[in-house]
Amino acid sequence: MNKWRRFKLFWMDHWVKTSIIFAACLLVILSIWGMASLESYYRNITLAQLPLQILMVILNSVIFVYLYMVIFRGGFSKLDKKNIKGTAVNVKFSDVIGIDEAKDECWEVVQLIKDHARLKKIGGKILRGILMMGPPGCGKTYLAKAIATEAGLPFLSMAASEFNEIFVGVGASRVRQLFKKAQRLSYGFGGCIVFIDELDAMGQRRTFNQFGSGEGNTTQNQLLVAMDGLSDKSENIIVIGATNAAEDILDPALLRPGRFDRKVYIKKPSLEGREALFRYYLGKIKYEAAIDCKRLARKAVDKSPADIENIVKESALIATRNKKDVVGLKEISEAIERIELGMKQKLTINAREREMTAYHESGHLIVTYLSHPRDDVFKASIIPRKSSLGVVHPTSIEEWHGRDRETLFADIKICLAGYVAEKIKFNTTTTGVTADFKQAMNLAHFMVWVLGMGASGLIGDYTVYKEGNALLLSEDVKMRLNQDVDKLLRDCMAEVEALLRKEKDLFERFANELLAKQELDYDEIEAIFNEYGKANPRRFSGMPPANGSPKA
Amino acid sequence: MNAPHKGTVPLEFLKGLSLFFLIALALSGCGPVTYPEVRCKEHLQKIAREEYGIPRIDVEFQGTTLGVFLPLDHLFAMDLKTALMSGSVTDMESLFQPTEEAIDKVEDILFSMSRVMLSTDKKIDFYYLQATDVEKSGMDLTFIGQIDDLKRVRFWDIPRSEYRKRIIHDLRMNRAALWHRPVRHFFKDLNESSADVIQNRYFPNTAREKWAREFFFMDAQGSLLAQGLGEWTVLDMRSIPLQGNDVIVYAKAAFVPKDPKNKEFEPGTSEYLFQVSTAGDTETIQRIIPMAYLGEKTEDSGLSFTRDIVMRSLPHWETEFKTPDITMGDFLSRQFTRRFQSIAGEDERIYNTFASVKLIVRFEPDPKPHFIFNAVAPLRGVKETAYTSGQGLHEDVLYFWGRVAREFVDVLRSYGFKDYDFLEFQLFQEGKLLSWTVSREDLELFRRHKKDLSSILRLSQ
Repeated sequence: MNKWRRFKLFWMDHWVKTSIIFAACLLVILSIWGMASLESYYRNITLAQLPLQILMVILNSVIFVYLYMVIFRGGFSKLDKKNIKGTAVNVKFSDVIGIDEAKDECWEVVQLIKDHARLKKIGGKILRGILMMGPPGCGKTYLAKAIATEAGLPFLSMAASEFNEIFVGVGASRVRQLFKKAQRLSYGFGGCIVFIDELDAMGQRRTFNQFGSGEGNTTQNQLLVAMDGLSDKSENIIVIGATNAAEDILDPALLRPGRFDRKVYIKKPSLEGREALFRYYLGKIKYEAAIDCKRLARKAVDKSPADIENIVKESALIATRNKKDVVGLKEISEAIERIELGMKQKLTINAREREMTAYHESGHLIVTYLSHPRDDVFKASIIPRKSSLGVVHPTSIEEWHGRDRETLFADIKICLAGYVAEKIKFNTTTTGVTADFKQAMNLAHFMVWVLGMGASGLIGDYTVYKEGNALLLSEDVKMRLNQDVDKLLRDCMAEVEALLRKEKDLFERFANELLAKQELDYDEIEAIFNEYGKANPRRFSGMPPANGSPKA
Repeated sequence: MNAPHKGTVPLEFLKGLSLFFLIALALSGCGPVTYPEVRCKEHLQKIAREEYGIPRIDVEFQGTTLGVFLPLDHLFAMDLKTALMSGSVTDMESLFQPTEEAIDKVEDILFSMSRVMLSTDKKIDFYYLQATDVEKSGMDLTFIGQIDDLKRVRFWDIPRSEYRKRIIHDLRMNRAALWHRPVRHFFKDLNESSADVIQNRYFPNTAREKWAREFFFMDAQGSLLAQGLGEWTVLDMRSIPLQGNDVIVYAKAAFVPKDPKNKEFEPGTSEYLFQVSTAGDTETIQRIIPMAYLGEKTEDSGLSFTRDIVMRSLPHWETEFKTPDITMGDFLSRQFTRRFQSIAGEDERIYNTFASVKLIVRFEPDPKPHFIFNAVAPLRGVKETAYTSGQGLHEDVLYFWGRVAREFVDVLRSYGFKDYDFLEFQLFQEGKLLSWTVSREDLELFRRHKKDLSSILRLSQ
């Protein structure tokens, strides 16, 4: 029975090829027969013309195929259905590291796929679609492959963008082709997994207007119909979609039960996850035994598995460039810095500007170190990178999923610290505060208008009262809110100024250190603070300093 | 689980198939020639018989010329003698209009010849087809062509109109065909007619017993038969005219029993001399003399042949069909004759200037190979002369010769023919033959318009 099905599957897949081969064989035999029966002159003439004829046939075929593909099939960007047998994918669940919660959910899915027959016997609902959501680089594709491997099913992979063409109907046609192929494979192998990456490219909310629906709508409609059609067949086809877009971006029709009825949220890895990821990726290269993966994990807060892989690969490149046999902590730090901060730029800066930058960054540094409840200073630098002349790079010592008032307040203070530092030292300020102010204003506005953290006691999200771009608020309320924002900024600035004036020696020291060394690493920074008797407030108390927040 | 579908196996198979196909095709082209030299004649006769339903053609080779004789019962649509006698003929061309059936047969044979010529290992440069009206007029329609022209027209190297110019077709009287006609009829009657009919037609004054045994109208027991027992086939016929209106026709014929079971006589051949009279409207047989009865000495006062004389002179007797051994020079000269005649007929100036143009081109291989252009073309102006020692050649003669020379050099260049030294123009004037020569090198300059004809003509002394 199974063999007969396989044979039928082969015939369904290859009937055109088989027929062509049969016809070709027949024509070959007839040609040779005909050739042999020709008189010798005509035989020789035919043979003499054969190379030219073959050349002409090839040329004509190429022209025909080219024109056909360009005119009728939207160019050569044909549907690239990566048809892979499940076991050939060879990504096991044990290879999926750092996203354990999602893994557990997916394992359940695998069990459901494997027990497909039993589920049907009981009368249970067959799982049709799984939607994996999460930030980029968290291993959604990897997890889908792992599902295919564990379930032992053929795996068809496509990016949603591959469905899109300028030619009307091509997208829908490709969806039909994809599902037709999936049904065949499912018929032959007992199931098939269709993976559509970046689903948001085709699954966004459909738009309807007087001009009719667009090509994107048509493609999505076809996907909806195809997924609905799966229930009419007994074949075990599971569609796995992956997206890093928010759930409300996607069309509700896609998310309703019967289509993507199982949603798997994949988050960035936890500390343990990051540690495991560092261990996994470092295991693929040679590295110093002294490297502590836990410490690296702490340094890589909010990093995705792809980021961690990139850090390790980059560190290997740096080690190779430095003619080292193994990767050390220095290379990894440099790799993180390069990825986070960007490449150093060779920009000629005069002494005055350099000095102002050093004091500006020292302001950020001191305020971050002494007043931020969560972030450590990973690095301070006055080497130009990207569009900035200097940078203080804060890193959270552990992951947080929300932010409290103190943290937001500290963030504003850090933003303002550069401005205050310039003012204290030089009694003037620079354009270097542009981005700082923008961020500070945004944060303050957000705290007051949205989070109810203003001093006047106005509670609630005042941005929802609007019609178009116009706010439906009284001028009085708007004024009070704006006054709260202003007060918040002024309070922060006052605290920063007080802090920097208080820590004048430290301020001068860091500025001089930066002018001398250009860059200060975490250890150097901590050593200087320790020198001045300033222990890391986060390490020892876990709480923000007593003067860390203004009274509401 | 099966291996994943990669879709490469059929492609590999097709690659292999294509390779096999090409090799097999190449090998099939390495086969022997279709019509080997030794069996060319038989193949051509077989094609004519089996594919075109033409029962009899004669094939022979002379040098590198393939000759084919196609006897036709009815070559022309009109009966020449009747038409001429009626006095209604105003256009001679309509008189020689072949019948559709004859044209079809000629075309079929020409095509058969081309097939054999192109697919044989025998060296053939020219072909010669002679279609003879053996029953009615005795006229020959002949075609001479070159095999390379055939190839070139097939590959569009020359246009079909040019190809037609290169085929030399001619119409001429074949005396032998007319002389042989009663003999052919005689053997046909032996096969088909009754003894009484034969008696009345050929032996009105001879007792039946005298001829019946010779021609198998008598059985072994001596009984006379109404129908002959033998089936006769003419193998060879030759003729020689005697004085007056008589012709002697030599015929060699094969006989076999009509009924294969009849063992009364063995198959064999017989030779006869027929005395044919050409007086009157039709040729008639006067006497039939078996060669076996012809003695070493002439005993018959009316016939001065002995067997020995006949056998020795026979190769020189006239035949209905004889293939010329054509050479390139000969072929070209025949072609030039036709081409130049055509120019003389079509060119208005020549037509208006010369009274009647009769010309011929010959190729003389010895002592130096050269072409001779001889034209009898008197100028229409009575006072004008073609050549005077003082004024040289008349300008109209120069024009005529210029047209001829231009065609000459163009045709020779297209053939790539260089095996000649000069072209000679002959002019017969006041009982004297004057000739001018132009060397091949000068003709090349003339062709390239570097020199005009008057400057390269050299009067021969």
